[in-house]
Amino acid sequence: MKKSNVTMNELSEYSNEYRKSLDYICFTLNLLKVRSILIKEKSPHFILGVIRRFFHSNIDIFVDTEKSEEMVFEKLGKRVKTYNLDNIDVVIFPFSLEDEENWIDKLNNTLREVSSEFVVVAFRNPFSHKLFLGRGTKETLNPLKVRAILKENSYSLVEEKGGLHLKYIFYSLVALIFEKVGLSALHFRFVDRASNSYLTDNCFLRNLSYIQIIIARKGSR
Amino acid sequence: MKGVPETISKLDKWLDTMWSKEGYTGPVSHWWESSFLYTGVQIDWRYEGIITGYLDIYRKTGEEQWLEKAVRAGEDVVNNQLPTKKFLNSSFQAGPIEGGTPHEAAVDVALLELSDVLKEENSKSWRRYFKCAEDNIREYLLTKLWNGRGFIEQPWDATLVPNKNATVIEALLLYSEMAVVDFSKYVIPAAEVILNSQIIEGARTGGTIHYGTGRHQLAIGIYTARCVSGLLRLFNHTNDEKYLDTVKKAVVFLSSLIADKGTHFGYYKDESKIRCPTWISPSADILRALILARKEKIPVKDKDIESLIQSIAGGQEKSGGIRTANGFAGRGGTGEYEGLPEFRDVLPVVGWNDKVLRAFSLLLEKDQELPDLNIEKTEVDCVWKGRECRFIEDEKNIILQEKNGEQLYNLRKGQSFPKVCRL
Repeated sequence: MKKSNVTMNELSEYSNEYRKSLDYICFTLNLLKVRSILIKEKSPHFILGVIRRFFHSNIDIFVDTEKSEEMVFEKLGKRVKTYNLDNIDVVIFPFSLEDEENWIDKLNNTLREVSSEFVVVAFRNPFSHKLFLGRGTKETLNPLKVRAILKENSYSLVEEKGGLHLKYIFYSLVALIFEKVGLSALHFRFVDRASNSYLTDNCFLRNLSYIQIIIARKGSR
Repeated sequence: MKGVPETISKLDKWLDTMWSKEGYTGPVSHWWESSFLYTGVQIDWRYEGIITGYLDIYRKTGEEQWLEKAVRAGEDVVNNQLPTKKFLNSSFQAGPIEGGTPHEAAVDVALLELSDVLKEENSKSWRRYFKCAEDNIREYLLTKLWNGRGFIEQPWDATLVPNKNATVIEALLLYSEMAVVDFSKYVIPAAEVILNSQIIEGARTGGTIHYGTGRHQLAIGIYTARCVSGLLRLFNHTNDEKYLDTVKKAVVFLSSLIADKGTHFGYYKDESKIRCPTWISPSADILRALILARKEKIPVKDKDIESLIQSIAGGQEKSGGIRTANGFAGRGGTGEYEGLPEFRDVLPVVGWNDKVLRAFSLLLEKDQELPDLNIEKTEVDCVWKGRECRFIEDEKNIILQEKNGEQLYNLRKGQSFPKVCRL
């Protein structure tokens, strides 16, 4: 397996990538009526982001380490539980596979170990516009490979979304140009178009999207 | 004032439909962005208008039920204060994250107003709300946001936004009066942020520049209005006429934004007026600023106040909620918007409707009785991304559907997420 030679910058809690992805993931998990979530994430702000969205729900939330458990209590005053293998409805990887050298092993091992009904994988796609900017071209973490691993582990796709896709980028670039030339009214028109089309499930746009959200269920459809 | 008690009566009932046992909920539409996917409890500036509005109604009517509603909202806040002393999910349109500005300061204003009334009533519970605000002020506003010159946008963003400083000024003045401490070293520089941001020539004279808008340097009505209320509170504290002079100019600016049905959003740097959106419920902050300014004998046209009351009351649907705006579909446009309103326009938002409760409660007279009016299901034609849709709201649901009946949005009120969101 190729090793990642790219270290991804951690997403800011205020970025669209972070907020809109977590909103969508949690919205979908709510629709799927999951009762327990395992967050496979070391980064505090992704753990906190999920918990904030389910703060007043009865869903059991599990984290990987006692350190994360303490961090959640310190920041949000909420008791979550350290990882156990029983009764996990969904395991989510919110951008947490990106900097794993052996992300395939990590995904495979977790799916075999936990055997949850659902799995959610969110990551930044190397086969997006970033490819043309020379970033992430060596990454093996891409939608095709993730889908293949899920299939190998008997998971079938439930939902796929792409964020920051070509249409969005186009609107944002046009908005930026209008900003540079001082045409504020047109700038805000295109900012609006961009923000209203952040996520897509259009197959072509989705596969080339920078943000990938893949939600799958154990067993065939 | 004609129409005011009726509007309040229905608005109160609508607000109840948006309350869950953990707090006030609902989607958000706003200029910067909207939040439709997360719709759960947010302890943001909605509590400012809800608590102070109910307190004012209590003062005017003497009926205990209104104080109880203010206390209920105060409990939402106390129960959702985090160990960091910030408030849960306080960032309004930015979604579920704590540390929102000016939201946390606005919540402090509400808690301190509540605490003050309870203290007057000899209720020991005043300390509970006072402590909650005190902790937030001392451990967040003063510790994380003060940079020696003013209160910054976020610990990682040093922008000094005038209206956000104004709301912090209000919180600090209320706190310093109750705690008998001198916060001049914070309040006076924060006021300078506002004074230095006021535009002194051209069509935008009197407006404050929102420095968070970068090179666009927008002058925005509702934010200038929030500066007015902060400066008036400071004037009452200091008797320094320079604050009143700033308010006088701001009032002229606000008057220039009043439209047939609401208030235009603001002005671009080139002095062209931003007519899309034209605010409806958020205009209540402008109405409040004008009412407060008039109390200080600053010239305010009666017709401006009457026009705003009619626009806001006219935006109330049978559901009791008040529309947010008109013209979101042409966001940023300088011409009048024509056509059906957009989903973001017709959607009533708790964090805007609270402003109406607060402003309209100022217009109630002493011992005025409020009628007990029922709310009903609302159905309104609107558009979303150019497609004709129908907006439906009743006591339990908010729905947007296309003409063929396909739902684009379906939220059961009080829930943290909608059942359908295909926006």
